[in-house]
Amino acid sequence: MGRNFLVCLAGCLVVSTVWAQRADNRTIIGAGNEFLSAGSFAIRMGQYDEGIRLTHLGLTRYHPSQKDRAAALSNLCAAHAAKGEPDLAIPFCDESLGVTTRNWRAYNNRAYAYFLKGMLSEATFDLDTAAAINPNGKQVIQLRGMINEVGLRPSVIMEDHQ
Amino acid sequence: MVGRRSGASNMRAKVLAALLLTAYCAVGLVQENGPEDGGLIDPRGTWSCVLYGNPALGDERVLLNFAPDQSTLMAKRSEDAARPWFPLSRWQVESDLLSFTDSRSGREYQASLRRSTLGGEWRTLNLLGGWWCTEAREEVDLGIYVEAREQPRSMLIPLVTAVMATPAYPRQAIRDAIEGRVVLCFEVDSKGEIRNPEFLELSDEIFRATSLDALMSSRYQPWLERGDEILRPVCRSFVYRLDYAF
Repeated sequence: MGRNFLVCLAGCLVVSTVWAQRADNRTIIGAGNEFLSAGSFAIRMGQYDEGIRLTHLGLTRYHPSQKDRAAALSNLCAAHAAKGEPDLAIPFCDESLGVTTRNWRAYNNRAYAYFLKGMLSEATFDLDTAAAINPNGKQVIQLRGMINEVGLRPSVIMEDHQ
Repeated sequence: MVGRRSGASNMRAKVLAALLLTAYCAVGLVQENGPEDGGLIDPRGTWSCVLYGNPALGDERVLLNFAPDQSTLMAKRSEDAARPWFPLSRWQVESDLLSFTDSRSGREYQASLRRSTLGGEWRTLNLLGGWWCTEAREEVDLGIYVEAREQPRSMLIPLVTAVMATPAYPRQAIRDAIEGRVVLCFEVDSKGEIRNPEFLELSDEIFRATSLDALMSSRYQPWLERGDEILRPVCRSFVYRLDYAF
């Protein structure tokens, strides 16, 4: 389940970048910032280290717009979270959310990072924020299920009435 | 003159005596039946009651009858005219406290007769609830009164669970944070096997299979050594709960 989520996270969250938000977001040629496009594609393919390297290059070699920068930082957060490095991921999500607070994917990525650290209250809070922006996000629903599975204690009370 | 005065005073004495007697009877009656103004309620008669506090059953509406011979009867409220009355323990009053017991549910009922209406609390080993009644102008239909002594002895012995399987909480229900309640009614044969289960309540389809599996994995201790095959009705409630662990 976690593995599926990672693939989904990498695959779906990375395409949040503005240049990849066209109808076919797999088309990355001629998107403007080649490094960021290639970085997002690499992360989506599960090549997290390569994706991180290219995204860093895209952020330093070019001067992306604020919107693109927020998306790229969110991608870095997603990649580190997918690598199982929540402590590295969270600052990128924080920085992304410092640029724009309307990026539900950044909230979702940070929620996943918190989930990996076992900080379920924080994860739930971020997830609620993400759900408020995009309630039908597939990753939001999926992560909600993962948090519930870990954070809810089920019990069944039985009673006979004769 | 003296004679007439004496006759008049005799008459006055008789009237006074009669008044005193009437007053005494009235007081006696009041003390026996319970006055409106702060005395004791007379529980005798039929009462329409609500029993509450059971998380599985919710509010239950029943009729209670407290007979002058101190027998207690209970009937479920329903539109069905052929409503069976079941015997409970004998009701008794100690100082101002009415008490009686329902051995089928294991509830011990108590009520203070100093309240404005009949009612109080009930408790089992692990549950605590309440009940209150309003007077019902309804007579007990003795034609369908089930006499305790007429029942086979085995009917009075409570069923004892031999195996009580706990249902697994459906994983998808946890993921979707779904809580719920299921009530299954069934019959128990003399060997303790469960038969003819029926869903009385099913809050979500997700709990159907797991509840039924658990019920059919359960069994009771045999309760009849020999004799005709008798099926005893039982209901089991399952309350599915989720609590935050963080």
